[in-house]
Amino acid sequence: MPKISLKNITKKFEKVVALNNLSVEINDGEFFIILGPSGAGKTTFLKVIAGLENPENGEIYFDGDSINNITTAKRDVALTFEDYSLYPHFTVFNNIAAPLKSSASKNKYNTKQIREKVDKIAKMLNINHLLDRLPSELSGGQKQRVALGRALIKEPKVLLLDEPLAHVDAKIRNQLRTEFHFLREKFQTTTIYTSHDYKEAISLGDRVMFLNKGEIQQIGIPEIIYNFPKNTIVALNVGWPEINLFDCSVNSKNSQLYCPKGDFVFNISGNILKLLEIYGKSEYLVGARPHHISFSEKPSDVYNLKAICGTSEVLDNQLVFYAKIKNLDLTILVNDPDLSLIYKQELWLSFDDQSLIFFDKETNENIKLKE
Amino acid sequence: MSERKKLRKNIFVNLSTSVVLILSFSFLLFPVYWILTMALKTNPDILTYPPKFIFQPVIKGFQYILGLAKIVGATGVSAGVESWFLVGIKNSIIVVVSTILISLAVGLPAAYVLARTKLKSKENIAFTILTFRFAPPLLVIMPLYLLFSRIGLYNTYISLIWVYQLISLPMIVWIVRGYMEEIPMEIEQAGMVDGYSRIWIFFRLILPLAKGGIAAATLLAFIYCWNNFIFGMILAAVYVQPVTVQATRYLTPDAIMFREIAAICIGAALPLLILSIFLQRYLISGMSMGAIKR
Repeated sequence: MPKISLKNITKKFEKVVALNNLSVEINDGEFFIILGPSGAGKTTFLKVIAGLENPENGEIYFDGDSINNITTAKRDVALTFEDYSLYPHFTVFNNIAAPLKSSASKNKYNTKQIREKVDKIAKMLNINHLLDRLPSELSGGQKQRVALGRALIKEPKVLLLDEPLAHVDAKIRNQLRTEFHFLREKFQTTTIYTSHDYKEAISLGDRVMFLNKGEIQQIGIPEIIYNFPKNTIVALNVGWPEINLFDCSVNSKNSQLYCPKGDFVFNISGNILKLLEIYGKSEYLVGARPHHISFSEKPSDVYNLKAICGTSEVLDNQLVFYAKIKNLDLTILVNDPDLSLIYKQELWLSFDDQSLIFFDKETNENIKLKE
Repeated sequence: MSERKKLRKNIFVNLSTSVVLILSFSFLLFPVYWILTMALKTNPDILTYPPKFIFQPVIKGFQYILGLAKIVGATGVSAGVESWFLVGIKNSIIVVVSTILISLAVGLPAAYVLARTKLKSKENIAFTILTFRFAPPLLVIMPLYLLFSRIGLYNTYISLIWVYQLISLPMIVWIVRGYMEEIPMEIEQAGMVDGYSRIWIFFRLILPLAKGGIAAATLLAFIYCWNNFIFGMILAAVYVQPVTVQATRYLTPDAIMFREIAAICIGAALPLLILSIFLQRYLISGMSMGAIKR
């Protein structure tokens, strides 16, 4: 169950830089999530650790031992592919048993032992009734479990899961996510799991690494990634609905922020003003999460920003709607699905200034995380 | 359109499709039919005009080419005839099967490498292999004859097997490479992660999944090699020549034995027919890539 270290890993495909000088340490037994949009380099990251791709630069260590020159077969890792990559002409049983019969296992197991191990894993993953089928006869969720079985059966040192829930139906996805929690408790293997869905990341991860275009944006526990995103890229990709971002300039005299796009001002508390003054700039990119904006159907001292209501959508037990202050579009989330809002109705909004996130306009970085 | 009109239109379409198909098949298969009947006719029947479609069949032709007939000389002494057909079949089988086996042994790994390598010269090498088929045999036959005679390979199986590679190797490499390119790299990577060597991956993953392509290429290469005439005629003598050339045994100074030539044509085509039937199920099976989401 090793600690994995990557130092200055760069991987290029012809001219495209898939991984740009990455250094990261993953702890022993950790469930480490790599979050990022398509093309971020998540799959390449896993393949480099597995040894399926060789980096141009950099070293990889398992528990302090360099594994750069060790072939894939000897690294004792398991990888599930985004498209499962089951052997199409092997039965489910033979797919799962495959790692046990390879030369790398040095013929450690006889037929009876293999049978027992496969049955055990199959039962745990609820696929023991499918053992004689071919992969073409399985559904997406079933294939995913077979791929997992094939990965888990050899009790690898490192488990690499490449977007395991990406192509599975929503209902099965929730089921499988629960199973991942269970597997995590049971096996305690160092696991690296990639996803583009921040909900999975927040739910499953011990720590989350946000990757974009081959560069690490932020690494931290889920709460930090969500509440203190390092830059606008992380803020925009983590959280649903997408965070509202707009330019503001500071008016220290009146302790207010002015937003040119919406042509409005709103008050900010003394501590926020102080934070901005210490940072020193006069213009910022302000981030307001949809559930941190409140509204009222009548104006008041607190609810003083006039907005026109746009379309709305009810999802589960939440209501999402769009509102416009002059030229500024905002998304707002409410926990009251029964509220009825009329299109083009007038509303009065208020920002929760303590929960606002401020980004430097030039660097796009969160000013609170500036050292 | 009314129901009645629709029905009439349907019948018309089906009928005309059938008529077109019957005409096409008749046109394409007529030569085969004609040769078959020619093998069963008496000589007068073969040569008569207008041509006879209904006749009394004889099997003397087949008996003759199989060496089962006898010639009775003027003095009443009878002698057997040599079966050039069987000599030819034996040679064809030896040469073509060996050719195919060698082409597979060399061509399948070549196809794999050409499918997977990132070498910049990849397409150059592949094209060079393809160019072997561009050379007209008649163009190269004279230099080949002189060369092989000089190194003592005239009238040997080896010379034919070697030269036939020009026909079969490009086919196997190009067709199988296409099929192998379709196999996702991820399947091989899964094999590597599971701890298998590249050799195991080649034999147990790649080859089974390329089965359709290998069967198709083998069949095509077999047919082209089997049907080849010129190399056998020039580079070998009687007892090494394949069945295609053995047909010329029946162009005697006395007479052109049309019936026997027709019979040997039919006999030479039979092994190809049997092979096609045998390989057909591999051609149809295709690849069940249901394990990979597309």
